[in-house]
Amino acid sequence: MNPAAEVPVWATEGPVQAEVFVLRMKSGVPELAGPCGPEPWYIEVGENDDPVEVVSRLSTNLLGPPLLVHSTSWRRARGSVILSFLVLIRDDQAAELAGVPIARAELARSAATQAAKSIAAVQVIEHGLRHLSWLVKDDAIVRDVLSDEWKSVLAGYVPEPFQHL
Amino acid sequence: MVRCECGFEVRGSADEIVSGMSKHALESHNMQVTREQVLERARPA
Repeated sequence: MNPAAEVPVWATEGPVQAEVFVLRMKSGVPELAGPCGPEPWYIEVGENDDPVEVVSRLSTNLLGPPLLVHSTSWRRARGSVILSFLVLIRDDQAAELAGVPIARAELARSAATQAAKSIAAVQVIEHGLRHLSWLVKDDAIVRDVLSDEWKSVLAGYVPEPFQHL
Repeated sequence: MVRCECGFEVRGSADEIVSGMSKHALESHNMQVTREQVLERARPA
């Protein structure tokens, strides 16, 4: 065993990793309720793995079947290409996992030809929920699996075209 | 003991640590790890 005083922390690595945010609705408020609590859940994606299949399979095994697995964005971080996913589960699912309410955030904006300098987890979630706010209107599968409560919350994520002064 | 960045920890004998961490790594993070890799990151609790 390593006799060092500090415990080396085990972390995922490899050329491609999935970054998963498990979301659950609680009393009309979406909350982050994954196996890593308020932190993103990282999963290694092997060279022959389908990222969506891996995220779906591990989510099902740990949490039960998800309602929706949505690949929302990618970026380079942690020495890997990070594929970000939103995994939505039922309100009563994974009750043993504590939830943390999701805050709104400004998006991390890219330059015309360059990625954003830094991207926080809350910005990834905001971006993903804006995707879903569009998909729930455009995609019958997304519309069918999401509850009215989710649809109501996602309506608040649709960017307003303009505001009256 | 061995600690994962997600907060998971496993303690016990070397065999227990290897078994527990290998199971966690595969089930939670899709990682295939060897006994040597687990023990490299272990230290006495």
